[in-house]
Amino acid sequence: MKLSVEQELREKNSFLQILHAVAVTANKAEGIKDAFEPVLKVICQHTAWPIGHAYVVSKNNPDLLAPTTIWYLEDAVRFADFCKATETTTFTRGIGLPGRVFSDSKPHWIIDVTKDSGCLRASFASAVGIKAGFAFPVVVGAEVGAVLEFYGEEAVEPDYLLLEIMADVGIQLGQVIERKRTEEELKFLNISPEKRVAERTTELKESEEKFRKICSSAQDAIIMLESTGMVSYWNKAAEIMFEYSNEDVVGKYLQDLIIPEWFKKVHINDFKRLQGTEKGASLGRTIELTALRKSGELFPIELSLSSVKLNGKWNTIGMVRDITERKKMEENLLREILWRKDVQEKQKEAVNELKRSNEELQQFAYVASHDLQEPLRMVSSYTQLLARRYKDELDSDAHEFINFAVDGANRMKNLIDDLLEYSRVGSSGKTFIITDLPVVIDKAKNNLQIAIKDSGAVITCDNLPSIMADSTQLVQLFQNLIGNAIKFRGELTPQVHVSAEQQESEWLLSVSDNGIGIEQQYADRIFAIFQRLHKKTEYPGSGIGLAISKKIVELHGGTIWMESEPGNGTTINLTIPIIEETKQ
Amino acid sequence: MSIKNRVAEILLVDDNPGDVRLAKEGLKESKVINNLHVVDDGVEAMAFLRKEGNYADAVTPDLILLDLNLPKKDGREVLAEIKGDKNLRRIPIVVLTTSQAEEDVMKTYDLHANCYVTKPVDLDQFVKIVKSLNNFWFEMVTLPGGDA
Repeated sequence: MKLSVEQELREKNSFLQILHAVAVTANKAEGIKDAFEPVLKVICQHTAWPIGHAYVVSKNNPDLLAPTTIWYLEDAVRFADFCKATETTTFTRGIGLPGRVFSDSKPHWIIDVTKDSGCLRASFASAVGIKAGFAFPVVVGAEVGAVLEFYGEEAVEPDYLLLEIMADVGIQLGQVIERKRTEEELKFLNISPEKRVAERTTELKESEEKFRKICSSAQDAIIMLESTGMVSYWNKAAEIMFEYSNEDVVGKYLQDLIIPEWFKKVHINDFKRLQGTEKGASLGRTIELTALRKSGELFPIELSLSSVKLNGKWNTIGMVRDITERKKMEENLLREILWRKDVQEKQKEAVNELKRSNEELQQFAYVASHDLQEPLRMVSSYTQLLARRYKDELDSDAHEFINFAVDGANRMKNLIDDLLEYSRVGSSGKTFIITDLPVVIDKAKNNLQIAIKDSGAVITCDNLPSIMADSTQLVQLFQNLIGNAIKFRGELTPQVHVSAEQQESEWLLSVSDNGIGIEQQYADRIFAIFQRLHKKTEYPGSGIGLAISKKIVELHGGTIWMESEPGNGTTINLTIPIIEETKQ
Repeated sequence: MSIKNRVAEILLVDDNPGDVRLAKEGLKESKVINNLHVVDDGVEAMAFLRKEGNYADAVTPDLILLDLNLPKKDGREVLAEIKGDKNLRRIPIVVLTTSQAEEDVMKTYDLHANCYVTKPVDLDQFVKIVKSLNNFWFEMVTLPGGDA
């Protein structure tokens, strides 16, 4: 239909206005679909063409036009087959209406698509009663990004005015698309630029948060120095340890804060060297130093240093541990060790002292007794000589006097001998060996042969064990005890029995007899040196036997005691601790 | 060679005059005939045995009675010296001493004393010993050859 120029212009104007409005809408659209659909609608309604559709350049193949599901359809049912066909048809450059537009970036008009050999959908078009078609490109940048196509029921001559307008629309849409595409890409990346910045910021914040928490919860002080030596990081533990708050320290030199006076030079030099070579003497090691708190208190620290490069500059990171407690403990331990060593030394000394003292006593006893014997002999012998030589000239009184004198000397001799014997018990210092008690008893019996024979004594024993002891001393011991049992006999033939009983950690040995017995109240006294309960005329002996026995038992770590009743015999009990046998 | 043909010569080495006198009295009481020579310290003893100085004319004793506790040269030293001397070691030595300490006994025998006798306190005992010594050494035992 031919229009007057005025009409044409008015139409064009209104059309353009509508399209402008549409373009604005399209700009606001979220996606391509929302952008194209209103455009298709406006164009179709204005031109009364019933079909509008958008082809877009395939993302995967820039030489291919791919169909979209973006349609304007006046009658969706009627044109359904055409739609289906379209949605499975792609176009390359030059093929069909869309293809031609694709290849030269210009609008195209086909009067009758059914008669056009290039049209791939010709059959479908004729099936639904479509004749004319036109399409125009949406030019994005320099390239065709999409092709919008329209189809009508009548074979119509090209409307060049329409095509012109469509070209403009295509360009405008193209700009919209370009904008959209960037956003699509960004959307494809799931992030909008603002969103992207926001998310990145969050990431960084989270990362920073994590490390900040690590550093602030650390027990050890974490300090970072810049290449100048100034503090750039000072964690919570550092605040507590050194008593300087963050504000106090950041930007200050470490040596002015926590380094003791005498060490400042060393630190500054070492730090300088560190900066020069990126290696310091202290790097990569853990060293012990003294540091200074704000209050002025010096305290020991353990320091680990490392270097990190930030922004091309070397920074030093130090981890500091307050080892005051540990040092105290170390000191205490050391003191304890030294003290123990000292105690050991003292013990050794004491033992040596005792040994020395013992030896001295022994010597003294030996010399004393030896030197005492000689004058004794003089007294005794010459008194006797007197008696002999002047027998006839001395009266009975004189003889009695002489007897007393000589007797005194004799007793003194015995005392000296006994004392000597007592002092010598344990002087041999033999180590304990496994000693067969039955053998010991036999030896003792052997030594008492005469006494046993004379008294007719019967000596019996239990199954006696082997024990760790000094065998010589044990013989002496049992010889004493059995000898006593025989000596202090009553009317009956002496019966002596030796028994043994194992107790928790010791042997209980007993020598019991059927002799005269003693009152229990004297039982303790009897073990003292020279303690006698009988007149010397009744029973011989100086009273040293039991004292020696007691000494022997005590040398073995045991105890000795007596149970007795006058007229009912006596039992001497003694214990000897059980010692682990040692290999000889 | 038997002693029976001559008088036995005894050298007594003892610094205690009391003991020396006792020995003399003991010998007298035991009615033994012998010559008793006495020196009172170890140095004198060696001089006597070696016939040195004043002792140029000394006889070689048939028996030596030696006390262990002597001034200057100790009895043990004398013992060792005599027994170490080729010319003197044959002479029997009876160590006659106060001590009955085991070490002394052991040491004395180690030094090759012929025997060890403890001086008793009792006079009778002493006389007995002296008699026994005489009997044993001069009547029972064969002594080595005469003067060297």
